[in-house]
Amino acid sequence: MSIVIEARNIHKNYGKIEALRGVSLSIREGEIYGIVGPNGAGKTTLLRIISGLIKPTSGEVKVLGLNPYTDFDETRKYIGYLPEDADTYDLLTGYEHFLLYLKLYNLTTENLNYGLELASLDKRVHDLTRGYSKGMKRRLLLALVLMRKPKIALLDEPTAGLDVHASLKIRRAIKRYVEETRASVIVSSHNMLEIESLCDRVGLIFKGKIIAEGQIRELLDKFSSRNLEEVFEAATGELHEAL
Amino acid sequence: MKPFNALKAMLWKEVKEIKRDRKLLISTILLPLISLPAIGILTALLLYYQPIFIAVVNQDVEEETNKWFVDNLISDLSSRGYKVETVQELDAALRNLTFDLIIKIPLGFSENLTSLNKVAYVEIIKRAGVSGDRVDRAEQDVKNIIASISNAVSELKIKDLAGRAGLIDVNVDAIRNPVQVKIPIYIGPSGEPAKIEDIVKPFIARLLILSFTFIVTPASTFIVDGIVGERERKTIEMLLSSPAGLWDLLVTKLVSSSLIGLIASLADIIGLLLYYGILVTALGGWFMAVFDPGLIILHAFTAFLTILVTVSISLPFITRTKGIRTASNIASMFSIIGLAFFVAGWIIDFYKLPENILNPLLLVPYTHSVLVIQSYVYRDYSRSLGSISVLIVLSLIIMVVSLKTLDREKVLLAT
Repeated sequence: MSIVIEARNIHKNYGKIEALRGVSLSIREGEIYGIVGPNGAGKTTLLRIISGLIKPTSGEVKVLGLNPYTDFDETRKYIGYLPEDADTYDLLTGYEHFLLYLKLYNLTTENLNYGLELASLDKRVHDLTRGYSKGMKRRLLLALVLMRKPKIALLDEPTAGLDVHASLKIRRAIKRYVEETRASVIVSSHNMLEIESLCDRVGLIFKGKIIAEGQIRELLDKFSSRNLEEVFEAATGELHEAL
Repeated sequence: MKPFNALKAMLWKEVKEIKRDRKLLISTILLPLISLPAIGILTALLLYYQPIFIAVVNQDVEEETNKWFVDNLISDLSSRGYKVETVQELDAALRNLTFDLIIKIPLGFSENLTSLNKVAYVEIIKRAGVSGDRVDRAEQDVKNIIASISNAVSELKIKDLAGRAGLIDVNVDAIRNPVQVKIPIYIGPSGEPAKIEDIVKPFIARLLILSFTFIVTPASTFIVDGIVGERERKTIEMLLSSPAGLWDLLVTKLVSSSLIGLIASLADIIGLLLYYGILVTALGGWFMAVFDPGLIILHAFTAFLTILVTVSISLPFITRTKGIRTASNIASMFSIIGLAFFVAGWIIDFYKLPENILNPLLLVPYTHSVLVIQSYVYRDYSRSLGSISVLIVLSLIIMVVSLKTLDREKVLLAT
């Protein structure tokens, strides 16, 4: 499988704060890659850099061979980005959100129908989104990102704050999307169990560094752990010792 | 992607949101429509309930002539709405803080009034206070009433003297005021005698210039909400990562906030024209005479550009601000710069300023906002057109420079 995202030694500073300290990773075509780490570990910063929204202080990112920051317009064709805690416009209906993104991306009714199916809001799609539950809003936003079938989807905490049922629906939608399109997806989360059930490979991020990376089975074996939480504990322990 | 597709899509979204935000629309329209009459009614009511109190201290009580003078004075002042009281002692009147104005008629006043070689003086004592302007007006009224009584007395004296001298063909005014000014004639901008609407229109223009203040304020609030509010509501990041791009997003915000200002401008102008239309009708003019479509279009377009300039100047500062309160304060700060020019435009005819003062001011876009309206009302259409052209160029330059200072990261992270 070919590499679609390549990040090399990414650093990002916000003033004196080092948000990322030399992150490197490669994402393959058709895989779901999980970035796991606690709050403030650098997950959102890394996804924003890959999406081209912010510029790394140093290091290099390539998305399908393009620099997402300098080749922003070109990479829009391939990247779909769902930010953490993103919200909808209260005074627009769900359907009008679809219309807005159809116009922005110059999409077809085929994309619209696919988005409507992904969101599965039924008749509520014609209601103003201020009446939607958090789960409905999240499904709508995910559908807006995926309806144009981007080759790369960057999903920052897609199930944060959702109940078990709503989270399950989101995870199913992501899996289905990858099966149908063979797209590459990066999912960030601090929920290790979710990542275990969803991702092919995982990168554990802690204080701006990838401290462990690989297939989940490999990581469990390497750290002699039963789940990712134990892997994370063991890896951060090793890191503390090394420091 | 077709050119301007993203811009059109974003504008479509903004207009939908504005149309559905009824409270925003109602407050934008009603604020100017209600505020001006409300200020007028409140002031009128307060003026009615807080009259000017005048004390008349008559120290020359013995004479019958004096009684005639005082009675006339009190009756005339009362008919003009003043609360008049006679007070025996001057000290009592001075100590009573209720009295805004004290009229002292000194001893010997009547004798002097009827003599041929002395002048009868009346003393006016004013108390300094918050009602300064109104006390000045009361003083002027007292002087007018006394002048009118004085005229009546002088007429009697002149006629008596003429009779004694055996003169028959005597014109009292020819002796009393041999040189006089005729009632002033108002002329319009073209030099012809002015109609009532010619007199009212410049005043409307001044108010329209002042009204830019009411227009810029809601627009500034809207742009703050459009950028900082969207960032706080977490709706901006998805748009920033879309093909819409930064320029489309910011231009949309600038245009939509200017649209809000445009709505406020139309409400303003309707309110003002209705008010003055009624006034002109009451004064015998034609109601529709104050409805100048050219002025309405020009004001709306100038308002749009003025807002565009203001929000463009404040945009780089607003986007770098994390909190909505700080951003609102910054926006207000820039609005106040405009306010200074609009208040000045209310009082001063900018185009009459000497060149050494006006020329540096021409670098400020708000000077042109004022000049567009003032020149139009005085029928200097080429100057009005020139000013609006400069305003268009300046607003575009400021908008482009403002947008150039920003990038996605600055807008997203407020850095």
